[in-house]
Amino acid sequence: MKHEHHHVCFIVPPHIFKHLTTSSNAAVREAAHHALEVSAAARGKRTAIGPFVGLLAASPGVKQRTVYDEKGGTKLPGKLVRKEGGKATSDVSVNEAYDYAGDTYDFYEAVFARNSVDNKGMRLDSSVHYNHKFNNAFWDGTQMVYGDGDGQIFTRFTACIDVIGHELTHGVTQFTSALDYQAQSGALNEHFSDVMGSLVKQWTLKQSAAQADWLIGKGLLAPGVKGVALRSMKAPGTAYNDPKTLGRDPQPADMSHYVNTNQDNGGVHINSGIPNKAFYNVASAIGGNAWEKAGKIWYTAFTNKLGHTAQFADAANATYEAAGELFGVGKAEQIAVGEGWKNVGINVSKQIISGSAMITVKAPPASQPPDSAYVPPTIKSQPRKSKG
Amino acid sequence: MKISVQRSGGFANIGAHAEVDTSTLPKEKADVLHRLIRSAAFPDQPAPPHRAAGAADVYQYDITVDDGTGSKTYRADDLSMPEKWRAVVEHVLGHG
Repeated sequence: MKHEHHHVCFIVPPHIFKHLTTSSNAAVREAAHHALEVSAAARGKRTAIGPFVGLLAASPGVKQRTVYDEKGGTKLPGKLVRKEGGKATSDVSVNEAYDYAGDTYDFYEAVFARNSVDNKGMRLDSSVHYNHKFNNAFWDGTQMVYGDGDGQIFTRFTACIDVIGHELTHGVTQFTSALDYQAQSGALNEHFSDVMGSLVKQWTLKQSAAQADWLIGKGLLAPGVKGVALRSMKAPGTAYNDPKTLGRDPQPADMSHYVNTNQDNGGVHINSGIPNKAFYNVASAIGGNAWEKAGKIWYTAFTNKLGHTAQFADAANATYEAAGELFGVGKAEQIAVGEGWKNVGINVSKQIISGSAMITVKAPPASQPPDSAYVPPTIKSQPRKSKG
Repeated sequence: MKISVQRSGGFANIGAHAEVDTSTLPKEKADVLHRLIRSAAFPDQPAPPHRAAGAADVYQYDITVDDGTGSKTYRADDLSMPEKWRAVVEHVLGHG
């Protein structure tokens, strides 16, 4: 492991952001300012919806989707514009959020026999046109939220099926391993969302592991930005390199380049490059359609074998064990898992390999998300530092 | 008084940073920021970490306030941040 350099921790390094906020291009400047104007309305919604989450559950085995239009606002969920079975609207973002959430539901059901994010048919709610020129998409613990992008660096976040699969998978994680959103467990949380987001895309395109691009957010970067996507599972750290806008893709591809940082919840979107590369290695070594074997191994491990504090080594052990259970101990699939992790600097434990230890299967958490009641914010003290 | 705001995370992991030293501002602008800081009522003692439960890909904010006796950093995310902290964040990132 090594400590980060300051420039490593941001897609847009601080000096670049300052450049953006002082840009002569009014649109860029406004978007840079506006990116943070996320209303606390979302919190109000969480508080309001928390006790009633159970009401969101639909009948078992039935796909239920709703799409809301924020119209540039931030009070979630916004105005209901399309529900299950409703006709397509004239708004492409609404239709993408609806269609890709449907594809993600279908993927989980067809490949893993999973009924929605909670496996109990929970309705999939999406809000589009959140805020103005908002450069983000997120899962708020109950629903998906998408910004339109500023048009200068990012286009609309609904345009990529892998982004939607990624966000919904955060819901799956919330109802299964509940991986803590911090440091290695947080990077595993991000990693599992990238894996399933990519697999949803590959499944809908009927692409084999060899045919897939293994990119996350391809098509999300606005014209003129030097990059192909936000992340590359095949070659972490190579998705973009544009000094004028995003800087350089900061993802490491192996443990020797692990980034220690207190930003981004301990680099959850940075160090996810390491397990992402491991998954790519495994899927490529096994060959064929990635969702059929590598995907099942990962799904089994991440929904049944990991606790909320799991580290990278735990994920390696759990996937190795899952491969043995699904495809046979010592078979090619299990060997591929061991080699895939080894390639990124993580070794499956000798006890797991010899079969003398078993991964503890964690009981799934309660079917409802954790209590969303208000908790006082974090404070950390730090010694004075001279400002550079 | 120096106030800096560091934003990180988000699906795209776009960072943002700005710092303001009120001693370098015109009195009127410094007063506005001092009022926002007082209104935010940042506590004296550290408190446990706070993140919105189950949420992912929301922005993380570190607000560092240095009143001359030492700096303290307060961390929150988009879904958990008190409204009055957000006013400070938006002011500093928007005008820093």
